[in-house]
Amino acid sequence: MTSTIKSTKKLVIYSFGIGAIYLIFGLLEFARGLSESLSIPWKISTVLVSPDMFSGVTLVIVGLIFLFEVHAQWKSGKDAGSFLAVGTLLAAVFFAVYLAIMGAHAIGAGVYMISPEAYAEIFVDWAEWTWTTDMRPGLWLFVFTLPGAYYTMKMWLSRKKKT
Amino acid sequence: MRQPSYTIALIGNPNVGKSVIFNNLVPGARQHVGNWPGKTVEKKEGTFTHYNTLLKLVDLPGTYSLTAAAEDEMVSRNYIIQEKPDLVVDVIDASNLERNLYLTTLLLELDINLLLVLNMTDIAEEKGYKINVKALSEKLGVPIITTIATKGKGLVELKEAILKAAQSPTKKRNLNYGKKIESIIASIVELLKKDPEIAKNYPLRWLSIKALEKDEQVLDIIRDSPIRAELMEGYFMNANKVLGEDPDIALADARYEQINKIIEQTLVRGKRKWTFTDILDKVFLNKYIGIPAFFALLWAVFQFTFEASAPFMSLIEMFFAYLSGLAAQIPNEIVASLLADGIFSGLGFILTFTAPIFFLFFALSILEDSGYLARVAFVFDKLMFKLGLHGRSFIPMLLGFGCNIPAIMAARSVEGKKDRLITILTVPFMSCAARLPVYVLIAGAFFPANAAAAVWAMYIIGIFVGILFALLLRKTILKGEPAPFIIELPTYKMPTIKGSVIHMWERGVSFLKKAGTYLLVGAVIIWLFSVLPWGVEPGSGESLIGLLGQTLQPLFAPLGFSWQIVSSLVFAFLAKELVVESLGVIYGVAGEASIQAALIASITPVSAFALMVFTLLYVPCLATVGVIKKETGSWKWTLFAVVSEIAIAYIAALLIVTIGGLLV
Ligand SMILES: Nc1nc2c(ncn2[C@@H]2O[C@H](COP(=O)(O)OP(=O)(O)OP(=O)(O)O)[C@@H](O)[C@H]2O)c(=O)[nH]1
Ligand SMILES: [Mg+2]
Repeated sequence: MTSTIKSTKKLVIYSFGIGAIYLIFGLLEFARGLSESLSIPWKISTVLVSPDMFSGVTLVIVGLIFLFEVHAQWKSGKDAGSFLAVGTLLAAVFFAVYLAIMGAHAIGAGVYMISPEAYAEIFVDWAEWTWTTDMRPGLWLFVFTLPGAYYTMKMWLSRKKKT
Repeated sequence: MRQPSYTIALIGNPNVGKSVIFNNLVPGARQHVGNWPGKTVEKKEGTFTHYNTLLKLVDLPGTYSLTAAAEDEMVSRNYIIQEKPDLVVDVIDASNLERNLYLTTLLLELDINLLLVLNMTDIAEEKGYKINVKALSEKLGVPIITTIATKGKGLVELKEAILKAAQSPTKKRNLNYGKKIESIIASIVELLKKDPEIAKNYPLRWLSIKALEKDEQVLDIIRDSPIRAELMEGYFMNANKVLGEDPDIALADARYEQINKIIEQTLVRGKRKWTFTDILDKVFLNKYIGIPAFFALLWAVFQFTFEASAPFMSLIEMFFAYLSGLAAQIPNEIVASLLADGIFSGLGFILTFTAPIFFLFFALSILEDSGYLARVAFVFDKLMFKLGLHGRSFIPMLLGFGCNIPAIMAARSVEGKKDRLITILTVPFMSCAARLPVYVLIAGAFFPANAAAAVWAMYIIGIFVGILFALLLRKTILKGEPAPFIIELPTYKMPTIKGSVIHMWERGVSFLKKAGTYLLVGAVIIWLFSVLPWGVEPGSGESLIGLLGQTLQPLFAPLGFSWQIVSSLVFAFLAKELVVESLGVIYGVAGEASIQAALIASITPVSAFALMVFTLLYVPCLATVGVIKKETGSWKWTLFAVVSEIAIAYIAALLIVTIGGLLV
């Protein structure tokens, strides 16, 4: 394989940091999901840690991808880019999915507000919806991956220019 | 209709863009396009005109060689050899010349009128390849057109070239396979000439080569010839001796030698640069992280399907609630009941699930077009092969998430009779879109906090039951080793919104068509069952549907299913959507929320989960049974499939109820 994305120590540290954040919030989400399904509520805002075991596991997986070869990369100085790029890509997928959900629910809430009384019942699920309802770590954590995404794009573009 | 003047066949390796070209040339054509090898499994014909000439174009399944191993490759080979089209267009992936040219050499041997299309030149360029097209064309002795089919580039020139080549066939030129081989071929040709019957009907150089390769079909042709004995004993023995190895190996080597020589002279590779495909595959094909990444992505798919579609479901529901309200005002009691209780609560209810179904299709299209699907087959292959199963089966299985019918047909690309049969028998456990409404309804009612996860779990359970079942077959009635698995991994491509929407629409329309026909008829029949004998409380225990459900209910008592559910399962034998449709009619209440309330009142959460699993595993629909019969060609296997699916569904549901009963 001829992957020539150079890895600098800086990049490796960045991968490690972001991987750790995803991992931690994933574990927290999982723990909260588990404990609340056993009726033990947490007092933290759901924006910060949403109670969802499965979404927690997916965050952990994304985190692990970031962390996957950090150790080897640190030692060899080779190829930190791949795992960073794919981790970022997966993070972006989840970001897009959660954003789509938030948008869809906003529509539901909007229709609830304007729909005639006879039909309001159908949209009652979104009666109390606000933007914080669907705000969750999978969304805002994405911001931290942007520098990595920028870096990958830059590598890609400079690679094209060399032709 | 005018008769087409020329017949043109599109052939090439799998996943090189044949169907894209076909769709572009034939107005209104809708061949399925995706980014994984083996989509087209049947030949498809279409016509187009150019300068007033009517041309018939045939899209063929992709194939690596003309020595057919899998069912779909057989179709291509037979078409080229038996139907003798006026022109064969060989589509080549320009970013993978070496592999693709192998088929070209085989076609050159065939003495046919050939035109080459170098497609995917954009990807070749991306890789840093520079191809000297003119030199390549001269060396091979065939005209070449370069294209980027997805962008429509070069297609006008292609039409032009097709017409020209069809009208004035190229003088063919053979590749030289070296003195030893050529002299053997020449001597066999001389011998074959002695049989006028053969000499008249076949290209002799090709026949000689294939005879040397001991191609079964060709040996069949020669079987009754008077020269057979001479050929078998004298010439073949001699060939083995002269070549010092099996002639088919010597021939393959000679072909590759020619290809390499030509490539050396016509292709400048440039410095190999990294591509996104390299990067992505490092992770997605990684043996530790590959499978978890797949499950995470699949979870994203269902989160999207379930959560984002919900408001749109409600919008559709509102529409039918409105219609239902109107219908209730119709003075004629029977008509009012048919419309309100039959059509709008039954069919209307199932139609609300158009939203999640379309969302699911959209997400699956993205996975398919990106090229990720083939990777899933690859990462699972290691696991599957250890279990004695064929990794190739995984692609049909994943396709089954959309609809089982094309998925069962896709099993034609699986090599080996047993492997194919195993694949056909496992696909029905893959959860198709028709089962989604059942999950959405039940998961939404019983597990609101983790509904998407419960739906996701069904798909995972489907995969595992499928694998276990395949394993069981492999260890018992279909013993044997899987054929080694080779899959060409396509380059990743950024899926476009437009492309994915088109795919979603193509699949979704078939659901809407089904709704307008079968499900409509189903709604009427179910409604009749629910109101007859006329005068009883509709959908009550005294109606026909009630009698049916109550008669069979004891069988399902261990699972905790109510008679309402049992009768809906009976109807769902025709199509899985009917579970939801008949529940809508039986409970006679409009709207998702009220049906969910009725369900919660009638069964326990554990039974509800068992019902989801039962729906997942038992016979998908009547149409699938038909396809299984068609593809296996055997009533015995079809019956086996139906019985085993029902048995497995029952056992799995029983296990869930038993274990769940202990836990809760
Ligand atoms: N970048 C690029 N992609 C292309 C081009 N032509 C086709 N594709 C893509 O390649 C993939 C395969 O195209 P198909 O037309 O389905 O291939 P096929 O040869 O019919 O494949 P089988 O039926 O499986 O043998 C699709 O994802 C197309 O969008 C091209 O010129 N450039
Ligand atoms: Mg095709």
